[in-house]
This record gives sequence, structure tokens and C-alpha cells, in this order.
Amino acid sequence: MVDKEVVFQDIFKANSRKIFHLCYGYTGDKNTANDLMQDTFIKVWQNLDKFRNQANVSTWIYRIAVNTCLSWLRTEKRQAKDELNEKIIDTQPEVTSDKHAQVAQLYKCIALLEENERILITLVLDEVPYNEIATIAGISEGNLRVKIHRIKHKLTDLYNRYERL
Amino acid sequence: MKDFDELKSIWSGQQISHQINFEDLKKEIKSRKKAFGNKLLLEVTGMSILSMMLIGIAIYGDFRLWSSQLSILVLLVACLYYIGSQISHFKYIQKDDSFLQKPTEYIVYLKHYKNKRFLFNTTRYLIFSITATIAFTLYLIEFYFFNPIWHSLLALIFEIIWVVFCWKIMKFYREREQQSLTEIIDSLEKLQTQFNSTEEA
Repeated sequence: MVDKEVVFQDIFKANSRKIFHLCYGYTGDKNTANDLMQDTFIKVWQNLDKFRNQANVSTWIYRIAVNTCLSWLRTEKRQAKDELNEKIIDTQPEVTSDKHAQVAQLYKCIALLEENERILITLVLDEVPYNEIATIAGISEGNLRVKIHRIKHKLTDLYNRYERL
Repeated sequence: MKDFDELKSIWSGQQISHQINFEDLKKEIKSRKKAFGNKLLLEVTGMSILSMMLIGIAIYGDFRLWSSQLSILVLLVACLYYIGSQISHFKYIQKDDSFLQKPTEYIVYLKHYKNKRFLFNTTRYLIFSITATIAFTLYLIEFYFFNPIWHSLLALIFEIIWVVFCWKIMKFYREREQQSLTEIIDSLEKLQTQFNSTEEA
């Protein structure tokens, strides 16, 4: 039990930040992202024995996080995309510096992407290797590269368009 | 104008962080496990006590017609069905590792799961309502033969109210669940299209 807790703590320390980013990028809401992150790690705890012999534990955790985000609508009546974007604008913390404003802007633009695009781009931004993202998403690396190329352009365009406003 | 690498550097410099620490997470795991176990235990214990009472009534009750004893048996079957379905659902949840699937497969799973849960819940309610109605009807026979007519009339009125109540509740439940199910399935189909288009890209 103690051993399990130590392993779990290490996993939590190593992955929690990136999992939070993924959930925040997907939902656009900090509280919901915290809840989804918590749900993800509870599932990780419940299945820790299945992870023991896996080469890359983080891949499994990301997949749980992605599926937890996807099933968010199972329990939560999701808001329409426009409403969601409004919420992001309203709930962003007080902008205290240019840096914060840029991060807030970036999250706002991510929220304008489609669900699967939000998931993929947050993984790319967090520098998860492409082969790992392909395994998480369950698609070939070739397909992933094409898709990511498109999303990168879309996100950059959105960001620059908003910056000009 | 910023390029993607600049966006990446904005992202890596972000201070936004989660508000969950490890100790809180451990507490939440323990409390959820306890809450779920308690809920299941409470439901199964309640139904088990009711079943024991029904067995006691069937054995020691002063019934004059076999139909009344049959009514108790029918109710007992309904209780055992409920206990069985709760335990099997609990086992299913314990074994479930669907969230380890690929997202595309997981979305398909979610759609099936939603439909299955809807059917299970409505079927379970229907079976309970029908068995309880059958049990009341069987007991009504003894009421009719061995009680004043106004007792029988009151019992009949109660049964009619019961049937109408079950039908109304069922209708309301079905409509509400169906609407929510349709919304969820629509969203899941949208997601599936997105992920499938990734495959085709």
C-alpha cells in the first residue's frame, strides 16, 4: 500500500501540470479543469496495477485524461461553443501583465478550435513527442503530423487575428 | 505577428496551475470509495431487510388464499431482481477499464453505454412497477372475498392511483432521459466525426 502511494505520488508530481493544461485547454474553465484532473488521477489510482509493467506510464495517463475530457459531457450538460468562449473571457484572472494577457489570449484561441484539435494542440504545446501523441489519440504518426500542421496554422491565425483587435 | 514557436514559448511560461495537492487527492479517493461502497451497502441492506420481512410475512402471515402468498412471492422476486442488478452493476463498474481505449473506440463505447444505461433503468423501473401491480392485484382477491366491500373499493382506488402514478412517472422519466440522451449522443457523434476525420486526413 505504501509502495503504491509512493508510485502514485511520483506519477502525480510528474504529470499533474500537463494533465491540468490538457483539461483546461479542453474545457476552458479552471474549476472544471481541476475536477477533470482529479477524476483522471482517481482513475489512475484505481488502475495503478495495470500500469506497473507499461513502458510509458505518461501515455496511459494522457489517454485516461483525454477520455475523461471526452466523457465530460456524460455528466455535464456542455454549453454551446459561443457561450463557452464568453465564459473564458469572463473568468480569466485579472490580467496583471503582458505575459498573463498572452496566456489568456492563447487559451481563448484554443477554445475556438474543435474538441479533438484542442486536445492535440495542448499536447503539442506541452512538448509531448509526436509518437506518444499518436499512441494517445490512436492514430498513425503520419496522419497526426498532417493534422497538427493544420491546427498549428489555425491557432496561429486565430491568435494573430485577436492580437490585431 | 507571432509564429507557432512564439505561442509555444508563451505557453511554457504560463503561471496558471492546478489547485489540487496530493493530500487532498488522497482524501478524495478515500471519501469517494467510502461513499460509493456505503450507497451500495445501504441499498442492498435495505432490500435484503425487506426481502426477509416478506419471507417472514409469507411464512407467518394469516392468509386465507394462496393468491395472497403468491403476491408476497412476486414482491420478493422484484426485491431479489433489484439486489442482483445492483450487484452486477457494481461488479461492472469495478472491472471497467474502457477509458484506456483509443479515443475513437471510447466514444463508441460511451454511446453504447448511454443507450444501455437508459434501457437498463427504464426496464428495471418497468419490471418493478409491473411486479408490484401484479402483487397488489393478487392481494386484492383476498380483500374482495374476506373484507367489507368499501375496503375492497378503497384498495381498488389505491391500485388505480398506483398504476396511473407509475405510468406518469415512467412517461416523465423516459421523456427527460430521452432528451438528455439525444443531446449527449449528438455531441458524441460530433466528436466521433472529428476523430474520424483525423484518421482520414
